[in-house]
Amino acid sequence: MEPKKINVYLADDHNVVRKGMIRLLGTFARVGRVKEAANGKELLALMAYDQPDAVILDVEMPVMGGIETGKRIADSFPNVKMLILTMHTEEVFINKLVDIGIHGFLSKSAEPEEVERALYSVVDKDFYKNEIFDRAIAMAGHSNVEDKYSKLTTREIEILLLICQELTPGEISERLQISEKTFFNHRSHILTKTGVRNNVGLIRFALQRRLIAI
Amino acid sequence: MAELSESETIFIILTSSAGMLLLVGAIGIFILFYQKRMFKMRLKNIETEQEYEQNMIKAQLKSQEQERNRIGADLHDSLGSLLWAAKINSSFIQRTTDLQGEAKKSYDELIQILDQSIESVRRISWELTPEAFQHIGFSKSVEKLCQRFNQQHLTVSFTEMGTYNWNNDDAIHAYRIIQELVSNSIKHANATLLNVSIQWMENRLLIFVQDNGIGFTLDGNRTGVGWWNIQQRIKRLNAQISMGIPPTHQGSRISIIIPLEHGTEKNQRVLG
Repeated sequence: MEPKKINVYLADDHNVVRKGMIRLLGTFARVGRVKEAANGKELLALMAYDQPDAVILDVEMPVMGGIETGKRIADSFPNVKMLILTMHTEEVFINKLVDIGIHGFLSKSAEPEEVERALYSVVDKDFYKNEIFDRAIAMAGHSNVEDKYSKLTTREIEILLLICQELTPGEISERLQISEKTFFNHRSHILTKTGVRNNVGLIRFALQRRLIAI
Repeated sequence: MAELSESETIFIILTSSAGMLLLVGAIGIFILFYQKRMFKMRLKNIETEQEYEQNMIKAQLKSQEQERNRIGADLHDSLGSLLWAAKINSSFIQRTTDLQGEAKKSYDELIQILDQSIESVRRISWELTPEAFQHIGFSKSVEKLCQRFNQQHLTVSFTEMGTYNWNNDDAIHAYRIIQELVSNSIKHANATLLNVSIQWMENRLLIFVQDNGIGFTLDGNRTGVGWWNIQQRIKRLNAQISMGIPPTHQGSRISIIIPLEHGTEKNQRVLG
């Protein structure tokens, strides 16, 4: 079965970047409709009518930058996946973006193949893991707070570990012989118990509790 | 003229001598007071001058930091984005055109050039403004600086004794001094080993920057913007800097002592 086309909105204040990105996204097999905005405010205005599957955000934009835009999208449209495209890859900064609920991080020097991979990954798996993410997570350090972890049921821990193995919901449901709906139920319980917004936060949670290693 | 009697002569001599002595004494006391006042005034002048100099240095360094921040941000946001746009457009051409022979080679080189340019922008703007200094503080930033300068022919190591979370304006100056010394050493010393060591003491910070390069002449007449910058920051921090030769008799060793103010610091101090 042909996977559903991915609709993408992108926000960047540089016209040449937007035009270039639209051309590049047009060469990606799974990408469908692409719309552009010059800043976060314009993007949110576009999203008021209909929502894309994913957005690609620049960080530094006039009027409304990527961080504020990311926060608002996470609050209003939690199903929209967010990729950040940035020159800033400092660990502290990336961790802040993980808190907001950003799903993946790309450096403004990434190969086009990586952009394509990242886009598919955030849509299929709710996160994109690369070395920018790994470095940031390693810096976040380990946490001794075990209370949240101990509240998870065995089934939930099992699912958490499968998410960390970068399996898609379909693959996890198949492996556990449950429906995708049941999987998403479990996942939403895990998110509530751990207090994170998405799979990116879950991976950081698992790493901090030493459930997995990088 | 009537002859003066002996007693009268003695009286006149005595009184005039006493008068003279009194005068001399008065003049002496006046001079003493005057000098004391002059001395006080000079001291005050020196103090005002020093204060003025400190304020000048403060203003100069502040505007320098602001300028660096501005250029760094501009480089990132403007040039970085434009280079990225160039890269994705080149990628589009490659993905939609069947490039052969020289055209393919030219494309590969173009991508290499763009990657290197983006990397340079990143490096230069990082050197201009160490991102996240406020968050990660002095020690971690110095450690990162050392990691960044680590290269094939030069090992840059970092050691720290004790810990202290230091991230105020003074910390930036101390960081800049180390940055200047390390890049100086890399540019001129022809060293293969470089060590930055910091030690947190009760009320001061010791910094040692040591390399095994060609060393330098201790003529005390060092010039250049880099050195001037170091001197200004040393003054600003009320610090002391001295240059010497490491125990290995090769290269150079620069020691800096920076007094740390306590009580006024909001940072928590933890001695390790």
